[in-house]
Amino acid sequence: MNKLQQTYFFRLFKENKWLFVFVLLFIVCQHFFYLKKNNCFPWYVWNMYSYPEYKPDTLTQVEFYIDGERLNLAKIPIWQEATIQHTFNTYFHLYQHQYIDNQEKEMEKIRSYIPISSKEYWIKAIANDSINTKQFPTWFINYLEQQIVHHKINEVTVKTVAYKYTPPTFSKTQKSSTLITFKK
Amino acid sequence: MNPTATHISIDKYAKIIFGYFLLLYLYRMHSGTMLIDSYSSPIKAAGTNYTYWLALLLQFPQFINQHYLISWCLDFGILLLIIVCLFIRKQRWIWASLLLLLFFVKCFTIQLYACSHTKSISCNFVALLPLCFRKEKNAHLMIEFGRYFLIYILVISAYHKFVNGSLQNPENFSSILMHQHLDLATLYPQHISYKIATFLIEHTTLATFLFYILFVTQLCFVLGIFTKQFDKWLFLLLIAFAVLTYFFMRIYNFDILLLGITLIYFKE
Repeated sequence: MNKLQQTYFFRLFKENKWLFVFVLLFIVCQHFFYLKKNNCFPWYVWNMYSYPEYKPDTLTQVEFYIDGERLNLAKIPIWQEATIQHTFNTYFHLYQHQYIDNQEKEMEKIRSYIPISSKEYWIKAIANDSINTKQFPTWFINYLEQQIVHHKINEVTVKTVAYKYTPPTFSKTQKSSTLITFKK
Repeated sequence: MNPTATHISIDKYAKIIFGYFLLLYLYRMHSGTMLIDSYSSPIKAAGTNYTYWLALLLQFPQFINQHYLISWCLDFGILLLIIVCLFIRKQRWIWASLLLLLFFVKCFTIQLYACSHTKSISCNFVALLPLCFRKEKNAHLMIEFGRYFLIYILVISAYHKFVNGSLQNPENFSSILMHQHLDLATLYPQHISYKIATFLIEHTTLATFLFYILFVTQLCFVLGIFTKQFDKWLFLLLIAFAVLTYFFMRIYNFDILLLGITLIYFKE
């Protein structure tokens, strides 16, 4: 066998044409989404930590206070931490925009591919609606009660707090504000 | 055992894959990554992930999210299927196909309703796919595809670090650690990751050197395109990559190790 015949694609083509087409399509899709800089399962843009980051003067983080006591996100599993932060961020973004989901704007980009007759169905299926979104505070408190703190909660306050790095630690600055309070 | 074989047996490979996948799944259960944990979440986030759009158009994430019993059955059905795949040999491909289908139904639902998308699930998909083929010859070809996909992920990550500029920025890794560990600094400063981070934030040159090592580690995988000779070394590098990024940056990179098993499948 010469070198060309030893290559993966040659062997794949020779042994199974269907698999060859599958792999080829997978690669085409991977390249398409890479060029579009769009993450679409299972074709992602693998560019984590590739853009320059600089030491800022201050760093701001979102903090959750349960009945006045700060939730220790560092002591819970990474996935629960991500769920708390990302569901809240999604909700708060909707809350700030009168519960209008910018997902509809994303759909505009591929508007020409969506049949007009089914556009409403697409929006209903993919975007968040205000009725469901307004139920978030109740769900969020229940999630924290059942999955995280395991006791009853009266209120959850979410704040943004700014910190300054003064070696060897971070110290709180005066810049902090309450974003929202959920009451049971 | 055939001493002239170019790879380990598919059966042995399947046992390693499902054994490790079982460990990952048990960790997921412990971490609250179950459908029953975020049951009836009222908001979802599909972003521009068109596969997730398709799932929502088919309505199955909405249905699962609203039914506790279905969520429970999926969570524990998947656990049962992994155990079955681990021990069964005859017609394993049928059980593996069912596992693949249900695992991704679950992943899509949970990632949509937890509003958290992780790229590493594509590693699970490509790693499990070969074991869904009935013929050993096809499974073998897909394992090789998985190996090339793993190489692609690591080499393209290294390439982006170079072209997007993070590699040329001398304070990059220190800055990443500052952003990454603010919560530890204010909540749990005695955490080992934070202790390492504070040292590296103070010693920018050492941090930059470690970032270069990370880059070179990823770049080393380019060797895998030309030869399988170094696969075992690359596998060890991948383990080091997953463990060290967890300790230094608190990033969960253990899913990629599932795909990394393709590196120990082939003999030189």
